[in-house]
Amino acid sequence: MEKETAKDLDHRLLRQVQKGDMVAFNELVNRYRDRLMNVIGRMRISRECAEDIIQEAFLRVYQHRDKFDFKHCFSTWLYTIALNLARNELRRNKKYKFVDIFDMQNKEVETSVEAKVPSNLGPALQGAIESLPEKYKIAFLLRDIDEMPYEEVARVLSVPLGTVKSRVNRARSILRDKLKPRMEERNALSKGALLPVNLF
Amino acid sequence: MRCRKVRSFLSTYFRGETTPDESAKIERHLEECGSCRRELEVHRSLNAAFQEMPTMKTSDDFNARLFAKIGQENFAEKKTKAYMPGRVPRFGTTKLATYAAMAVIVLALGIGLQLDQNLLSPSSPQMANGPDQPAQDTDMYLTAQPVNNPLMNARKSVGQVVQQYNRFREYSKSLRTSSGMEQLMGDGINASLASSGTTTTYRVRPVVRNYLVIPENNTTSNAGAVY
Repeated sequence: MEKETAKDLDHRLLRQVQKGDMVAFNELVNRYRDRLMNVIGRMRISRECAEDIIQEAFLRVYQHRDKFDFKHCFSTWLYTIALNLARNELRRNKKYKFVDIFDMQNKEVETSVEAKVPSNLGPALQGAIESLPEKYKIAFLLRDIDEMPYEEVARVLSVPLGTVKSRVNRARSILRDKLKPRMEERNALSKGALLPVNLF
Repeated sequence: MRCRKVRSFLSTYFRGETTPDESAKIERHLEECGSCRRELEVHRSLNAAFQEMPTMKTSDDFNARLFAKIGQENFAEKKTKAYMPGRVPRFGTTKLATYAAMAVIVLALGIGLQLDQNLLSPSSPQMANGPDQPAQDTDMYLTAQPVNNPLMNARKSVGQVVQQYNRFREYSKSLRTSSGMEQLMGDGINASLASSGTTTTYRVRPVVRNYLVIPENNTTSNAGAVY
């Protein structure tokens, strides 16, 4: 028997959802909620806000379940909705920027600790991704973090395949420039080199 | 291939995204160029670092909150549709059992009330001032109001069953016009209905409405008049 592809499984579940099967909808949500969080949560959006956006995306999917065209991928549809909502949120944040003074203080402490500990790469990587221009960031997150095929990224973003490849490459290049010193430090550490220690 | 060109391909090369021809050229260059090999290492370790990044996950109650929102949406959707002509909810076969159970409760209550009514009022309407004058009569209706939220109008099955019942009574008493006097009787009974994970309890109560019975020869001329 031929193995059911991810696309076929999504379509089967969505057909069940159209018939009112909420268990199937629960399964669809479980299949995509963390993947979406891994993309949208890295877009300079707070965790709570990212969750709200993903919930809204699923809610819209549910509301318009009968309008889905089975010629397309369900994931493309879901990601398009979620990313449009995320873009709107980013635009709104740009217009009205709220900064929590206590968060700022914590961030400063974290950065200073992190600067002395080269192995603590996580926040640096996250910061570098967040600082990317929006169009490069989304392409990079979908391709390299979510491991979505280039063709699907092109469909989600409604841009030509070549444009996606170029954006991903550009994002990688920016990240490499930003993180090269850290990576070289890391490589040197893994090869047993000693770092200069500041005693005072 | 020169270093600059090779470096522009490195991020795609080690991911296997370059064509075989490009890959061969890059490999040839890498054999000779130590600087580009170090650059490739940087790309590899950067990619490994991104792969090692902890994945962000949604909170545990994500689905519960989502389904609660969907439940609210469903409720709002049904309310809107109920007011749209041609989309009034009908009795479906899947909910037949529920509706049947509700109908039995309401009819049983109705029969009980009818008995009470017979005790309360005489079997024939009282003639007030001669045979041509309207006479007074009373009738029993039922109301359904959610106990959980008294401000909400009665909706869904219980409300619909009561509405059907009242319509039937209205039809059967078509010769009468309402005097507008209504009085709630007793405490009524509570009927619970589970839907979309929430249970709504409705209080079904009888209402006594006073009528003026119009004699048959005056019906056509006074049709629609409210006393």
